[in-house]
Amino acid sequence: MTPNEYLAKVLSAQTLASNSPELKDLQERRTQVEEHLREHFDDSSPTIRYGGDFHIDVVPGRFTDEEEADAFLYISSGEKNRLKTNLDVHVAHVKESGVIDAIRLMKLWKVRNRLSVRNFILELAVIKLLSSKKSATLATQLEHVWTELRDNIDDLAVEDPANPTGNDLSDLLNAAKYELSTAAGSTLDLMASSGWEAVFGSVEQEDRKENIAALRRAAAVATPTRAWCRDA
Amino acid sequence: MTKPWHRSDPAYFEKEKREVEREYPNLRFRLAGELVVLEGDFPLIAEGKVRDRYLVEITMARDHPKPLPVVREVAGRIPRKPERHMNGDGTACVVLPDERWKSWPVGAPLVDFLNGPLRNYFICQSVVESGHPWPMEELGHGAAGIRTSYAELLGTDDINVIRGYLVCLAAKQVKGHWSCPCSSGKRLRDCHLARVLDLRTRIAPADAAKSLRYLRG
Repeated sequence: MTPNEYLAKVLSAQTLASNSPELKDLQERRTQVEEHLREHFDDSSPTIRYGGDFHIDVVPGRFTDEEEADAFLYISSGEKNRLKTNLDVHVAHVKESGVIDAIRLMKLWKVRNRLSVRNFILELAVIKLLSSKKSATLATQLEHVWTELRDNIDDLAVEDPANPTGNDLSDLLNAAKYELSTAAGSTLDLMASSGWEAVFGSVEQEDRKENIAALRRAAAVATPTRAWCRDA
Repeated sequence: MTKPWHRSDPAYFEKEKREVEREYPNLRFRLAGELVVLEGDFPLIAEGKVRDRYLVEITMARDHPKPLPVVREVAGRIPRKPERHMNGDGTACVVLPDERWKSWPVGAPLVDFLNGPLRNYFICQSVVESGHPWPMEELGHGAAGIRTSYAELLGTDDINVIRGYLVCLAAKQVKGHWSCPCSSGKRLRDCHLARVLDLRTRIAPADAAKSLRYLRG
C-alpha cells in the first residue's frame, strides 16, 4: 500500500456512512446540545445553524447586528478577548481551499497529538502552507506542512479571511507555535523511522469495517435468497 | 445405472468448468469417484473489491444439476449451528431446495449458483460474524421454514392443504381424479390441476417428498 493509498484509507475511515449507528448517535447528541443551549439561553433565543459535514461543531458567539453575518467570537487566550469574524466566510474559505483532505488529516493529527491549537488557526495555517502545493499528493502535502512547521514556523503568519486587517491572529498562532513545531518534528522523525502507520495508526480494523459495510450494502441490493437449516 | 453427469455429457461439464474457472480462478474442479468437487477460495466481491474469502468444498451429485450442490465451509470458521444456517454435519443450508427455482432453477449454469445463492449466503455469514444481524430474510429451521415457504407460495398456512399439495408434487405423476389438495372437495382436474402442474415444473419431486416427510414429523 502506497502512502497515498494509506492516507486515503485513513480519511475514509474517518467518514461515517449516512446510515451508520455512530452518525445516528452523533445526530442525537446534536439534538441534545441544541436542547441544552435553548434551555440555558432561553432569554436570548440563540440562532443555531448547521453547516458542512461535521454535525457537531459548536462555535459560541454573538452576532454583531441583525444581519446575522458577522459575529464576535469570545476567546480565552491572546490579547483581545473577542474576535470579529464571519463564520460563513471562514467555512467557505476552507471548503474552497483545494486542500480539504490535508486539512482533515491535520485536524486528525492535532487530535491524536493532543494539541491545543485552535482549529481555525490550524486550518488557516495549512491553507497558507499549501497555497503552492494544491496539486501535490496528499503524502507530499502533509510532509511539506510538517517540515515547514518544524523548520520555518517563525516565518508563518495567518490572516482571518473574513477580517484580514481587523483581526490580528498572531497571538493565537504564537501561543501554538512551540507545540506545533515540536509535534511536527516528532511526527517527521516517527515517519522516517517507522513509516506512515506510526503516525495515524493501522487501518486494518478500518479495512474490516469498510469491508463489512460494503457487504451489507451488497446484501441490500442483491436478489434475495433465504437460507434455511435442515437441523431444527 | 446411468453415467454421472460429467461423463454422460462431457461438453456440458466442460462448459460449466470453463465458466466457473473464468470467474473464480481460485476454485478448482476435482473428480472424486462419480462426484465432481469444486474446491478452493471463494471470494466475496462487492463494489469492485474482494471483501472476504471462504474456503469451500462444493460437491455436485452424479445427477447434477437436479439436486442442489452440497456446500461445506472447510476452514471451520462458521459454527455448526442452525442459527448460522449450518447443519451439524458441516453442510451449509444455502437455500431451501424447494425454493431454488426462485434463484437457481434447474438448467441454470453453476456459476449462477455461485454468484447468487452462495454469494448471498457467505455475505450474510460475514455480516453476522461482525456482530450484525443476518442481513437478508431467512427461513426458520426444519419443518417451520418449510411451512413458511409453502404458506407464502400457496397463500394458506393450513397444514393439511400444504401437505396435500406436497403429496401432488412428490408423486411420480398426478391423476385428474384425485381430490384437490385445496380441500374444496372437487376433483383435481376440476379445481387446481393447472396450479399443481405449474408447481411441478419448479419443485423437484424428490425435494417435495423430503419436505413432506418433515411436515409429517
